[in-house]
Amino acid sequence: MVFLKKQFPMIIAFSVGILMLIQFFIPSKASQAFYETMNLWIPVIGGFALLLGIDSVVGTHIKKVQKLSSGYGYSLVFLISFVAMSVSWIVWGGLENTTGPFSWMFFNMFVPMGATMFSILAFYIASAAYRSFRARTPDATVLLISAVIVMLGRVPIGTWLTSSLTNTKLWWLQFPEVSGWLLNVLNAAGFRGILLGVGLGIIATSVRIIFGVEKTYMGGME
Amino acid sequence: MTQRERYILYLLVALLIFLPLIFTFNVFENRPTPEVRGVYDTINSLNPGDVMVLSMDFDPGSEPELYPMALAVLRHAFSKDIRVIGVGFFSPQGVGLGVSAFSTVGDEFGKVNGVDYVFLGYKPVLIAAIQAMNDNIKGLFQVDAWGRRVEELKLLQDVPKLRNNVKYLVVLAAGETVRPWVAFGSAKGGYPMGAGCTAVSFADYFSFYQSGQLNGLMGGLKAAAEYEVMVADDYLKNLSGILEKSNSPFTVEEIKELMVKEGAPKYILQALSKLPSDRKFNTAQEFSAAFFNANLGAASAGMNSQSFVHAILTVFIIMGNIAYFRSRKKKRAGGTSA
Repeated sequence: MVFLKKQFPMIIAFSVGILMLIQFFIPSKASQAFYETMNLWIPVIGGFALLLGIDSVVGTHIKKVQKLSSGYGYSLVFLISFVAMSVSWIVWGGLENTTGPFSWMFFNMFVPMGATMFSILAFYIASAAYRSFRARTPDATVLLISAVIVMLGRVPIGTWLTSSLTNTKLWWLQFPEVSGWLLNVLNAAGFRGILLGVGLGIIATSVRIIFGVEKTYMGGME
Repeated sequence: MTQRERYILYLLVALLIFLPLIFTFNVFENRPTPEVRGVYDTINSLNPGDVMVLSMDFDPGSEPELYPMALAVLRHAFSKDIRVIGVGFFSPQGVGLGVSAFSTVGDEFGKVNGVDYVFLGYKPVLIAAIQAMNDNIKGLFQVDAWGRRVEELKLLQDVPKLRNNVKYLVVLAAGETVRPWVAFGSAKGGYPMGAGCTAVSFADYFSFYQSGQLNGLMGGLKAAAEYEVMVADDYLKNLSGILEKSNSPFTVEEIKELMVKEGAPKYILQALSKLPSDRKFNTAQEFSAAFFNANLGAASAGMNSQSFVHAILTVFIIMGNIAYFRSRKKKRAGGTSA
């Protein structure tokens, strides 16, 4: 059992990782066929991961309801919704049945609720902007000024506020111009550095996984 | 911050969102920016019958920002008779939005599902799925989002893989799907790419636009509104010749008859039906303005709300800082006197 849990996944990770690396440098039909097959296998394996995810989330909420632990009402709502959506999909069909209960629940309940969750952010951001966006230090002041310029430069009211500068020598002081400069120069330079770091990090982690140094993907074993 | 202040603040934000949506007005011009124009110009440069991919990588959480963008891009593509392959690699919940967008705009333009467009739905593991799309679409998807076998779909018989077949890719992303599409889709498949994202992700992807890996970038509701403006402008161009032939004053019905005679596209007739048929116009300019406004979508409608909320946030930040400096000054004065 230890072999299946520990060594076997490491052997698979090592052999598939090395083969995928090598095939990139071999321009043959066999290498291309291997690459294409692997690309079709991976989403299939991902499908099983989705099943595991469903099993995990349903199991967690069932336990919460059984123990009547804090917030079990939300778990109950989740379980009822899960059963309602699944049953209506199985019995009356999914989105292809545009008049079926699944389509109705999706477009009239799920979509508006999802959008509402995201929209609530507007209120929290407003409150947070008032409470904590303070010019306490020079760094915070730079951040604050940049944020205000970008915020106004990315909406039509910002264009309107500084539109009188359009044909003057100070045209570059218009909110959209300054906001564009901040995004194009300062932000892009910073992000490019971050992206290079992320890329190097991905390579390092991949090498560690292939050679069995990184084992957390097997459940946190060191 | 007291509870009362917080309620006042929330109420102000809510009013500034709702009131401009209820009482619409046109004050702030929404000029298309070069980033958004990049996507628009590329689609404009495609020939009728060319194939592009629209990856709708978002779920209902980002629907208010990205769904209007999807509709505007699809309207533009279908008005140019460009065939579109749709996928959604962000989450299974996004499939419904793809089905809805393709069906709605497809019907508007009289396009045939499976021939002029397909929407394939969701597959997990983004990077592998993108690479598989480049080489073998039918291997990855057995059925489309409507449950039909992909071998039976005419569009996928013509386009079995993305590599060497598609002319453009537009990714509308709520999450981290732009980077994999750049690295494993566009770069390896050899097709140009543009992207749309939520406003908060705009800064993340700007370096890709700057480097040319993305030839266009649409950030948030504003970009969707800019795209709507360009599409509505395009619609209007179809009418210019016809308007010259009409004798003012004229009604929408009279214009419609003239358009049918002139063989105007079906979607323009449908666009015209958004105005009441008995409405009378004294000048071509008056009609053009009304027609243009009627064909702007949800994103343009939200622009006034967004403008006001951004402005009030700026005011809150300034007020918060004034309060902070005043209290600091008081503390210092208190400290000195003690």
